[in-house]
Amino acid sequence: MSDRTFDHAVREWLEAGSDGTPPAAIDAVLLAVKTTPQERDLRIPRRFSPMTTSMRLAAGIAIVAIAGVALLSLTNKTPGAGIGPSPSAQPTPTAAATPSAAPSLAPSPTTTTVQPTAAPSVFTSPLYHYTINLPAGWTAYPALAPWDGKSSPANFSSDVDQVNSSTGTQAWVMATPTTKTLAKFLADQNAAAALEHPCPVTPEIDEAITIDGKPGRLNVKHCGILVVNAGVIDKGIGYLFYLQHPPEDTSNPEDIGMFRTLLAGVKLP
Amino acid sequence: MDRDLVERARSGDQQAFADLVHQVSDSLFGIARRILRDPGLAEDVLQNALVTIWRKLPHLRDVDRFEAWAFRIVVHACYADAPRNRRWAAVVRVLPFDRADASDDYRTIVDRDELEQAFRALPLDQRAVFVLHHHVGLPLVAVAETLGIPDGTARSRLHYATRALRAAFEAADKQARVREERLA
Repeated sequence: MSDRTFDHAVREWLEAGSDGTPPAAIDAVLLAVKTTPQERDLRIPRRFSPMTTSMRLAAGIAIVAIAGVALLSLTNKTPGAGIGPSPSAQPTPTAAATPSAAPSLAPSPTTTTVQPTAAPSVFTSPLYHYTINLPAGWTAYPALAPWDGKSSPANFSSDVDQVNSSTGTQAWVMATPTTKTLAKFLADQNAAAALEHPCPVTPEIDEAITIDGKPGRLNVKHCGILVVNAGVIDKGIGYLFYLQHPPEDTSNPEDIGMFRTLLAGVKLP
Repeated sequence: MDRDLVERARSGDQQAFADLVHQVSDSLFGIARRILRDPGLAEDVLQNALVTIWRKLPHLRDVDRFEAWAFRIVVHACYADAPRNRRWAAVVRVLPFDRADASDDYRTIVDRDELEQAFRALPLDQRAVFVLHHHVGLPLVAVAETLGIPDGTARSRLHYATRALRAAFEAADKQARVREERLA
């Protein structure tokens, strides 16, 4: 969730105090410099002396010989070894939740951070078990603890899967077992958000969408910053998706478009 | 940054280096103080870093990169000196528990205490990324380049630092709410 208060508190705390260097420290440094020699730059000159024709010839033969040996060693390798695409940076899909009578969100053992890749990747939530397609350059950070289903976790909370773009867009996802209807589930979450963050209880935009073919709703509201969220319930699990793009304070159609793109790449377990 | 000053200092001009020190020392001290959370230790680190900068200046190839290069040296000086010097300053504050009308002040103090403790519990490499990004204002790509680490590593370190501070801030918020309810 947007949290101007957190940002403000961190900024105030971080910028507190004086950065004026004590004059005695500078004096001590300048005194030390007087007796401290600089290191010599030992860059190797390009050539010590001009090459003779015979030296050039010898160097050429040596290069050809080295290239030949390298080529031979490559062609003698077992077919397949070392040839072909390098291992994918995509995360290993985690085991699905064990089917049971009651919906559960048992954590799987994998909690590896997905590092950004040049190509799109897929993030599988170790805790909430959905998968989401991430555009190139996005990073995913799995939740460390399950969401209690009542609070309104902010971005970077330990109970959310956080996915960040390289340009500052932040999205986060949480899920919990629920017996509520989708409308009630979202209304309760909006109420919790209004209590914990500077958000209105009623979203400015509330529209029907589908997430992985299931009926969901997309909400847009201003909480000091534009926040887009969406909810869906599937197999007794309620999922909430959020997105914001600090420090923008106004509605940005591109961010909503990005949110829709992310939602289109969600697969529920 | 004065390019000519850097070039002259690089070629051994002590007066040019003295002028350079006056230009950069506050920003380098600010970085060290924020990473280490101890002005005394930051002062020691700054002195070591500045002498290192003087010694190694002839190796600096691109004078336009002086500032980033200096940031890197000061961060590494923090890494090098912090484990050896455990004289962390004790933070002692008198909290105004009896002042019912000072909830904002109380909140600010509790917030800062919680943030301070959470930050001090972070590894130095996470602190460095957080300070370079939020205090110096470097984009993450530039932070990664300055510290000589991959972009993804810089992102992860910033994320985990922010997550820890967020958790501390939320704990402070709860603490303040409980107090307000008691006073109500």
